[in-house]
Amino acid sequence: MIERVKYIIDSGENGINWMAIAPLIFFFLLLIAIFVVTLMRSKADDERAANLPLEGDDYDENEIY
Amino acid sequence: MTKIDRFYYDNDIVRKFANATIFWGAIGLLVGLTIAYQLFIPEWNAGIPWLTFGRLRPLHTNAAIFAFVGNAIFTGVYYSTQRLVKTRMYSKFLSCFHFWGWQLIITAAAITLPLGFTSSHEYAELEWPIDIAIAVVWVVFGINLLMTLLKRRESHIYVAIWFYISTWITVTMLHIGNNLEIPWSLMKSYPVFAGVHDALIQWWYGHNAVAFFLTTPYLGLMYYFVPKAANRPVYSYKLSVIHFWTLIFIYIWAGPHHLLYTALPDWVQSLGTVMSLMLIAPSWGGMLNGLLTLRGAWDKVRQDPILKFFVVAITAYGMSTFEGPMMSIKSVNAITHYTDWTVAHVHVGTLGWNGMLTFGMLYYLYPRLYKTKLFSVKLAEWHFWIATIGIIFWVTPMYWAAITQQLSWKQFNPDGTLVYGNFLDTVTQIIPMLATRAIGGTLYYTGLLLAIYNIYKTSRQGKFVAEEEAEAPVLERILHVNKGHRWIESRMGAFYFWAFIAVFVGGMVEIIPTILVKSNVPKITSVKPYTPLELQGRDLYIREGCVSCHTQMVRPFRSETARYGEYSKAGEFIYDRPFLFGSKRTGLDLHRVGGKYPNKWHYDHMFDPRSTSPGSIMPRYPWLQENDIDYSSMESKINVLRMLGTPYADGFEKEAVDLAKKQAQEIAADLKNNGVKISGLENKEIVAMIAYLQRLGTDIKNGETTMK
Repeated sequence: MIERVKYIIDSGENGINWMAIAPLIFFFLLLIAIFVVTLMRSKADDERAANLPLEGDDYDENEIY
Repeated sequence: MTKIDRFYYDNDIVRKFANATIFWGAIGLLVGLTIAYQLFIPEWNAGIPWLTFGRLRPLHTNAAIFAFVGNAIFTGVYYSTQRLVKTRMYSKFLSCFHFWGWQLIITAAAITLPLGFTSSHEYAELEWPIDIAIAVVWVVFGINLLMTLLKRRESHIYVAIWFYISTWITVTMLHIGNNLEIPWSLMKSYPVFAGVHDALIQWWYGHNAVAFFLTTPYLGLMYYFVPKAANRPVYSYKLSVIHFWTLIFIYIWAGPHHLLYTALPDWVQSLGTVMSLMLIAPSWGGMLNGLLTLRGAWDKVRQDPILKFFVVAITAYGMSTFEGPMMSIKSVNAITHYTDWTVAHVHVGTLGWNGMLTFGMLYYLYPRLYKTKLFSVKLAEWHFWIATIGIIFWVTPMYWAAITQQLSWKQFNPDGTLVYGNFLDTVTQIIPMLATRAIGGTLYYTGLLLAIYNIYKTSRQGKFVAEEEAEAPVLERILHVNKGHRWIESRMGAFYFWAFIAVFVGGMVEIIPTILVKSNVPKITSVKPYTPLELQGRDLYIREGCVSCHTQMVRPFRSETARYGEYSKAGEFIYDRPFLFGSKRTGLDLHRVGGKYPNKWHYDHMFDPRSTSPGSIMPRYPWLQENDIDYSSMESKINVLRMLGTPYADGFEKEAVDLAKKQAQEIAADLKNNGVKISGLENKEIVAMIAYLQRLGTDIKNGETTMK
């Protein structure tokens, strides 16, 4: 198995640099996937999540200064 | 009716880490300041071995990264996680074990590094017993964090915690990967990988120590403390999702940009460059998300020093994450690498991004921990301005120095000779810049002292609340939403798994083929293992931290081959455990120094560099002429190296000491013939050091260069 993998990797050496191109393709696919799942988020969910640090906060501007 | 739980946040562990941040910050920055002065006043070490630049530099970087920044990360993580998931930390015992274990590790580093116990891997210099301790303490931290998340009272895991999780996963992976080593004594080891392989793995680690220790946890802190301080929700949660996944995925690939134009295979260098360039997008996504969180709150920035610290921190992050990708372009890297540009770049990140965010966070936290007001807002303002001006004074002369260095390193006369053939002439030109940088450092340190006083007075005037009462609705069961990204946001197992995949892929695609495909490192038949005495000298070179200032990597540029000789080949380093390519040329490259100077020159130079090179800023090493060579571990060293693949013959370890002594006598005889009169000269460390230096880069010059 290892020999086979090594052969595949070796054979790429003199042709297209798949070692460099494959990760780029993979990354862009990942990026598109992330965009899609992110756009599916509802606004209400986002607002709720974005406000999490502020929840339960007894923030008082005069408290510290 | 919703049931309400009453519980207590553990503020005690937060205060412990916050105090440790300040304490180690004061130590780490003081060491940095000391070595900044040593660079233009070489006698600043007072002739004490453990105060030399080479030994203190790793202490400075380790103290700044793992002690100052590390403790600040844990301060923020323990404070914010409890509040974001509305629950107390899982285990007080694990929290305390983590705290005391981490402080013990830092103390061990502060003792062992000046004593010369170093693996020579940048930011991973600590030796094997401490590496094991780090792994244990880090796992304890991870368990405590995970268990806290599992018993949370909030279904949604906020984006700050995603960054904490990715930090934990990646640092675990990097620490194990880069510290695969075989001990040859109680405090020393050799790495499993050699030469180019060792270099690739080290910079996979080294770059991602920056990424996953200095960046991702701080982005988590930014996503918590900036909204808190501005009293505004994060600008775009959608952007934070994209920012998170793309950042952690891409960052891990960028390591090879530290090795551009070296003997590393070209395809790995290209991959590192491309990925580094793409890093701008997620990095700036994070920066913009941080700055835009302040929308509608900019009027507060005028009055609030905490927000001022945060704004400068995020701006510095934006600057350094623009600069980093630019420096990864090969043609830019060709002129910035090995110069003070890298040093300036790193300090925009650490002093600006990490330092300013830490101070902002501490000013935010202490009044809350002590239920009081900040002792002096005015003093905090003063701290802010002094530190900001300090950073400018720090980095500007370093950029200037870098430009001066590169221009003078590469300048040719019309007849084809180097204008600055004597490397020292390029060093003496930048001394004013080095001095100005030290002033910048002094200013930044002054700001730190003001912070210490202000925080001390704040804590004195308040009353510490170790157990802060809180309440939150009982979470009967975690709410899972099976839609889009929300599917993963509440599922801890899935989140850990996919975050691991995201950070695992990049490194493996670069590392595994480089190691498996033999043609990546062509073997050169004339390259032979080090002799026992050279090996001994190499370990002294490592002990003294020579790699901090001297590279061993001649790049294939006319300006370098004209100055140093034949460019370095991958096959020349196959017996180098650890690799010693270096990352900075304060002094000249040493890869081809072998045979360039007589033994006596090296002897005099190590005793007093200014006797052979007037104006040199290198420290003196008189103890090399006083200390006897320690051969006690020689057998063990040879056995370990043979086990790792160095072709020493069976039984060689038995005769190694005799061979070393024989070679030492030859060098000592030559020194005596040239006027050196010291009794027992052949037993002194200087002889081993000379043996190593005279060997460097000679395999190719002396033998055939046929590659198998």
